[in-house]
Amino acid sequence: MLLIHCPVCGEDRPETEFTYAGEAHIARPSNPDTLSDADWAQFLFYRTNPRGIHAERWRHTHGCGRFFNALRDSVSDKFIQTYPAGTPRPATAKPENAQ
Amino acid sequence: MADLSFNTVRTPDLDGFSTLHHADGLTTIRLADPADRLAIWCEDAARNDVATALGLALPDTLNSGTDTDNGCVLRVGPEEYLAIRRPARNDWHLLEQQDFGDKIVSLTDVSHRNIAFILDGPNAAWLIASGCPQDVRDPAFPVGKASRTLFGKAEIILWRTGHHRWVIEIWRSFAPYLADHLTAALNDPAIRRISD
Repeated sequence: MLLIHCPVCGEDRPETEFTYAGEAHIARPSNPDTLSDADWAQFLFYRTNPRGIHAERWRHTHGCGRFFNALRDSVSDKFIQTYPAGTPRPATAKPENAQ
Repeated sequence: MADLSFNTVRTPDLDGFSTLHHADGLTTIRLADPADRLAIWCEDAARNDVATALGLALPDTLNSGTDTDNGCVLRVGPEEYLAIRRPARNDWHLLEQQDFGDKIVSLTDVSHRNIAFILDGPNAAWLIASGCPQDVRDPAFPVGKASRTLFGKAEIILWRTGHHRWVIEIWRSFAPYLADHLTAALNDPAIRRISD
């Protein structure tokens, strides 16, 4: 079973309690009217999809109910760190599989 | 304004669920008595006002419950609580209209929504572990801890009120599912173990 550390509860909880919620740190444009269709599409649909460390949002749906952010290695699927929503992305550690 | 003076009482369809006994002769699963339940959402600044309105203390720490003769309050989220009171007096819906000024508070009477199972005995934790993915051993789940989690596919609030005593709060409509699941666990030879 995959355990995820919820920074709000301060506990490692089973993965089934959580819901994935997309890439983190994507700011909604403050004035969408001024954006071109291409820029708006960029905000809506385009994601980094990195091979390696990915900052993503999770929600502790069947727990405290709060959103938080996580750094996860998209190669090994391992969670490197979780941190509260609204805080900046932590300095990235090396992926575990890095040479 | 809508007339809130009525109160709806509904009973779960459990096909005459009666207390279940484990083969160890000690562990039982029973339905808790009817209770008043209040879903509370309040910011920290309003905690004292809500506690006064309820006449119950709110837990200071997340994922814990207070248990008094007057009632219990479980803190299931940073700003989210579930208050339970037995015997039921069917008057908590009156609190829904209370004015808390500028403070952000939401009180909702959900007495009809939940029912509770009480698991009591040395094998209770094993029965819960049959469907709940959380670590229900000490020290991960100490006495007094309460947590929203899953049992099988149903969302529950799991509350440990004693070393061998657990309360499962569950939505009424999920109760037959949980009862079936617990009955199956009860008859599973692999779960006939005595924990210490």
